[in-house]
Amino acid sequence: MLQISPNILPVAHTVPTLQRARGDGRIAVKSAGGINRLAVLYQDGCAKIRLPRAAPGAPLEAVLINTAGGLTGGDRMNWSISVGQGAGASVTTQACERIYKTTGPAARVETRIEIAAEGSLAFLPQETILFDRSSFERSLSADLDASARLLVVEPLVFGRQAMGEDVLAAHYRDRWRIRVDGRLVHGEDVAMDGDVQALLGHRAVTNGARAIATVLVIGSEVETQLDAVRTIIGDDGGASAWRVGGSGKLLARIVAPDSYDLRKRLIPLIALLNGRAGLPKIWTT
Amino acid sequence: MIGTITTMIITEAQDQRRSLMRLMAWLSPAFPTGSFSYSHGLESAVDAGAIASGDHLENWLSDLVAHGSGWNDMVLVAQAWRSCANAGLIDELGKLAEALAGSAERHLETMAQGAAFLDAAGARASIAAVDHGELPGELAYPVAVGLVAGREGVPLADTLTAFAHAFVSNLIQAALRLAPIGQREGVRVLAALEPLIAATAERAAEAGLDDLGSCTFRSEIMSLRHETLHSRLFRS
Repeated sequence: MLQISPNILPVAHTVPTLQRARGDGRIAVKSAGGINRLAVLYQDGCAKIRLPRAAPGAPLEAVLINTAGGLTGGDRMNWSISVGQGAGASVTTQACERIYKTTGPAARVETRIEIAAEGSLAFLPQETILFDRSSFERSLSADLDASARLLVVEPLVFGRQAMGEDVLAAHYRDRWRIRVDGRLVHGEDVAMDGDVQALLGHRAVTNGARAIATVLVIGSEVETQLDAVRTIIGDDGGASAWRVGGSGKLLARIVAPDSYDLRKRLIPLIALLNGRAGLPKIWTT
Repeated sequence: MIGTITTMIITEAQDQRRSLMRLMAWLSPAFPTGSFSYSHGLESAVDAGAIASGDHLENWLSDLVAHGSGWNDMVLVAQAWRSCANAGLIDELGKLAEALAGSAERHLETMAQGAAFLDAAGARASIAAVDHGELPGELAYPVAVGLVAGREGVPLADTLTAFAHAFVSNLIQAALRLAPIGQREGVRVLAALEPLIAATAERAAEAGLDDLGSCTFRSEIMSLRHETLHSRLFRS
């Protein structure tokens, strides 16, 4: 007669409610007499914003900081960036964002962007690194005036390279919705679940490359930079420019074996596409 | 009573056959959407050596269907099918589909085929007659297919199965022209993908817009690179 031992029956686990990191950071930039000035600065929880001194007349520089030093299950960050009429800003992050292993709900980061007429914003976060067994959901929504310009460079790395880590299980979602005068002009929906390392090995996914980046420019004359973008990217990716609903967009995607190789493409790309502000200093320090 | 039931069964069978014929017509390579002229980036994938055999092709296409542009298009077909009575929702979906196109040529591929599909299916006139309004001049291809199938009462799961099958078939035909892959191998790949197509169609029938999501980055890159290929047989 089969006997079921009590210790193989499911045990009800009580998951302790841990203190989760919360951050809410908002910044607004305005143009006053041709100088870009801070209009709003709000920092709550683990969200901090630092403002390195920029040259007079240059776009305002801001560095977003997550003082919790990485994100794990249930953590939540909200960033809001608003650029006023005729103003310019260049926003980056202080360090790579590490998404730690979790058994709980996903870590979530929401970024909201608004750019008024003739305004310009470069959103240039440093790499996000997905650790093995991480769970991460991110969204980027932007509302632009038809005369505004937006540059986004978003690099993503799978696993801790220094440790040779493979991402054998993860949950990742990334959703972008970019609107110009209320009309949707660009969407991104990335979804990866389960054995990411195996998925990356597929020839239509990255063929084994562990670092990827998406580069997007929305603006009136984006096609003029297409050839230069293609020259920088070479065989590691592709770029195209077209119009949707009357708005110009340039989209480039790059895959690289690791974040070091990815940066070799991204640094000249940012220098090319970010006009006077160029590459944020923190990218190379 | 028995007479009534028999009549209902006959009518149902006739409806099913009518739906089947419509799907076969709409998603046939002969339907004038120009589907044969688009390779969805496959031409640059072959050029780059990423697809050099039937196995490579099978891997590539199964990723597009399970978690690539094929999956996203199926989600959009399903949502358009459900929204077919609401012109505002269809317009919004069309814009979403257009915004998700990942390159100048993918944009052309979905917008030109969508417009051609509506014209060839005779949908513009019939929709205008019922709704006293006009469809947007352009509608991305999956939204156009979902809209027309929904309005004609063609079952959703069948529509999705036929849509995915046509997507895969069309790309196999493109690959046969581009890569050293023979007809017989092409048929083998199509047969091998049958279970995935059926399962993914079932999954898409239950999916909503929150289920949009893909990770076929290299396929997207191949589509971005196509416009700079030296010699091209295809428009995408």
